[in-house]
Amino acid sequence: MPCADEVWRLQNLDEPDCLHFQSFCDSDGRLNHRDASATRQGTYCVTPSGILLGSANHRDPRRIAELLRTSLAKWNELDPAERLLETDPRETARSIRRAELNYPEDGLVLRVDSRDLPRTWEGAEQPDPDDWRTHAWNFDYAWFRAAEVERLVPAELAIGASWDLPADLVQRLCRLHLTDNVRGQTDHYARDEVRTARITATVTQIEDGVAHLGLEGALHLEIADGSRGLRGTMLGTARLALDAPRTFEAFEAVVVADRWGATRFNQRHDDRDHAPVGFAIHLAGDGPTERIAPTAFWEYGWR
Amino acid sequence: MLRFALLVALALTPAPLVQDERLPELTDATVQSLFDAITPNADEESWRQLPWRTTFWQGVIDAQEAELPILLFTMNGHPFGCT
Repeated sequence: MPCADEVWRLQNLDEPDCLHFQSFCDSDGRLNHRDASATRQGTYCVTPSGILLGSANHRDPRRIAELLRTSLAKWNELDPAERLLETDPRETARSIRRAELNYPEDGLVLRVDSRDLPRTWEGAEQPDPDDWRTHAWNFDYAWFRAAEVERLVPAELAIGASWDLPADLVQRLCRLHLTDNVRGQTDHYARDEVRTARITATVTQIEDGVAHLGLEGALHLEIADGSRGLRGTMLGTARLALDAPRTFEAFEAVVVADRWGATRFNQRHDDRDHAPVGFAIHLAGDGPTERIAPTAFWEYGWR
Repeated sequence: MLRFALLVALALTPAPLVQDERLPELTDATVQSLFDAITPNADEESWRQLPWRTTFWQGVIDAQEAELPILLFTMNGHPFGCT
């Protein structure tokens, strides 16, 4: 039964699912062979009852295939009664709190993809094509509640009308989601590290109850000492259905930016110089795998 | 004096918002190709084809019901989000 989840929460909180994870994650030695606070990220095979069958933290599919084979052999050796929980896990589910419970059903969910852009200027040092980081990409989800969606667009619209999207929502999008996460999780920017964050919308067409919007914007994020930052521009379009409640039928925007600097985990320690990065912002689907909370959800301040 | 004036002029010249020479042009003509280049292609998203449960506990629930072992892929940052 394949499942995926975020490890920090599982490793550190005292919710029932977290305690269940903690009961087995070190059963065959600490997965990453470091101190107790080290991450337990990786791949585990385990019985519903919590008996660890095997674990590995590796990208090599052959290693994972071997983990599956040996774990299945252990599973087959177990008494069937040992494999399952004595209590119904559906009962426990009701007491588990997760950020995903705040999913904005009637709001707007954008997916923000990120990827390095070609380094085409004269004398540019080219990244190693055999390094996985050269081909890395990442993504995050940006959530907007229904009331926030209402604030994005004025009540009355006419062709040619132009306005800046609310500053607080644009700043949140920029400082939490337009970050250099291409190669791995990174720090978001603090509010006072937002130098510029603007998105201007213009109505280009209104037809059949749908407003067509042009989007353009600019952002400049930079930490106080200047050693890390991101500066770029945005261009895109959106379509807004005007029937109440107004909803976005389409949203596609690109951000092209100059990034520099590194954070602890974003794999830029040897790539700190200015280089281009791109973001593609678009509507997310609403399938189970697309309802994951924004990575810095706690910064939303939603209660 | 001229040198001082030049220094003042340099200091007052705003830095460009973006180092344009290093960035691809973002225009109506290029925006779609940039969008396509940044978003992952079908091969890069093929791992989604497995019937993943997106929480460990949903995996426990479904594995308990089906009497199957659990494969848990867990990362810093949700594997189906920013990791």
